[in-house]
Formats: sequence, C-alpha cells, structure tokens
Amino acid sequence: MNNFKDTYNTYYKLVYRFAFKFLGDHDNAADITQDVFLHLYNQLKLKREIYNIKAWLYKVTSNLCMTFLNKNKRITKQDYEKLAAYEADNEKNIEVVEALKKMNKRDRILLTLYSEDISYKKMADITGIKFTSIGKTLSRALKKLKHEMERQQQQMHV
Amino acid sequence: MKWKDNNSKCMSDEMIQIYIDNEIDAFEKAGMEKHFAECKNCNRRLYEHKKMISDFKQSISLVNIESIEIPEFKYEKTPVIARKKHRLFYWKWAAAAVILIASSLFIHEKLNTNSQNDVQYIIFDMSSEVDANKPLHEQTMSIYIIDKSGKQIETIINNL
Repeated sequence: MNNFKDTYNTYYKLVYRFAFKFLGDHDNAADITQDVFLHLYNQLKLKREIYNIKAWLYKVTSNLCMTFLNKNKRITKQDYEKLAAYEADNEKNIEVVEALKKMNKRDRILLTLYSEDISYKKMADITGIKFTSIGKTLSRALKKLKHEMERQQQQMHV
Repeated sequence: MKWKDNNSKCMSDEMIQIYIDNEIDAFEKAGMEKHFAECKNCNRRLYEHKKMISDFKQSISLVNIESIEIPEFKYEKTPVIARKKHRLFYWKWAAAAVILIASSLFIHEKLNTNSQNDVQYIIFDMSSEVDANKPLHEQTMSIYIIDKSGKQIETIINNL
C-alpha cells in the first residue's frame, strides 16, 4: 500500500482543485476528494489494475461531483453564508467559479476539464459526450461563460 | 446572395476552437491557416476566440488551493457523501414515525370521546303539557336524550 500513499500525496491537490472548480465549495470538495481516494483504495485492495491513474481520477471525480449535484439540487442558507465569507477573501477567484455554477452540468464539467488541459479524446471519454461534438459544445460553453461573467460584472456595478 | 458565397468557406466557431486546441490533422490545419491569412473576418474571430480562451484559463488559474493541507488518509467503509445522505434519510424516517404516532394517538382519543357520548335516541315528550286552549308559544316541551344503554343523559324542558 506504499504505492497508494504516494499516489494520494501526489494527486490529492489535483483532485481537490478539480472538485473545487466544479463545485465551488471547499467543504464539499474535501469530501469528494476523500471519497475519490476511498474508491481508489478499494480498487487497489481488489488488485484491479488502473492503467492511466490521472484519467481514472478525473473520471471518478467528475462522476462523484455529478452525483453530488444531482442529489443536492437545493442550495442551503449555510452555503450562501460560506460563499459570502469566501467572496470577501478572494473576490476575483470566485467570479469565474460563480459563473460556472450558473451553467448547466454538462458545460460545467466540460469547462472544468478544459481548464485542466485535457485532450478532447479524454474529455469525450470522461463526460460521455461524442468526440466529434466536443469542439462545438466547448466553444458554445465558453461563450455562455463569457456572457455570464459580463452579466455578473454589470450587476456588481449597478 | 453574393455575401453568402463569399463567406461559405469561413470557419465556424467549432472549427476555430478545434484549431486553437490543435485537435486537427496537419492537412486541415494548413488549409485553415491559409484561410486565416486571406480572410480578415475569420482572422479577427480567431483573435477574439483566442482571447476568450486565454481569459478563461487565466481567471480559472486564480483558483489557488496550494495553501490547503493534505489530510491523512482515513479508511472508512462508507463514503463521506453517502454517509451524509444516510443521516438525512434516517432523520426523515424518524420524523415521519413521530408524526404518525402523534396523529394516531390524537385520532384514537377523538374516537374514544365520541363513543362515550354516542347519542342513539332522542325522545320528545309533549303530551302531558298540551293545553289546546293556550296559544302555541305558551306550550311546554320536554326533550329526553337517551343513550345506547337506555340511560337518560339529558332532559330539556322548554317553555315555548
């Protein structure tokens, strides 16, 4: 299990960053990260081979995040408070994450993967979107995000 | 329709996106580069698209999580998210059970109190007091209320 410990230390931040970009919440990102590595631990215990660890981690993280979002559609009051506190600390950071939150899940996951410099083929593999339509979906998602960010900035100035 | 013919070779957003991300084969790429050199409109769009992508990447790179500490890995049988869900699930059932018990007790109580005073017969007795010479409003009426077992619960004597 030495192997696992090394993997854990190497990829913890990668998984955490991905989950945070996707969910925009530190607590949930930490929970998701713990769960991802729990899955990995179980896989290694069953002596199942994982060929591309990074791709596997991205896939499991995005699946867990999707499941999490599906189950927690309602945002609680606490979440808003946390968000407000975070926003005060790091205003510019939250802007893009906040805009991402407003978009649909498919665009969100695609943009999060795109920000991690993942190839189209892997994106198609992870999200289940057809490889040929990744470019189209991505360019539309980017445009939507741009509009959303502009709208937010306008609201801030009003 | 000359305008449309001129633009028929122009790139779609999708093509520009793929071009920027280099997800295209060399032959197509050469063709596109040629087109970008010739078409001012596409060149401008390429520039705008590039800027949009770099803006996005730059703003998302501000997500800085380097300061977080890597916690020690704890092995737990059930995943954290699933456990959270289960807790809520149990609470829901507990709340439902409490409400069910309370409401059933309330209904039971209601039924019991109703059955105690179950009025079965109402007997009117006006015969003894009738005096045909008097007007109706001076007559007296008695009402006896008798329950199931034949016990007299209430007597109302009313002077009309």
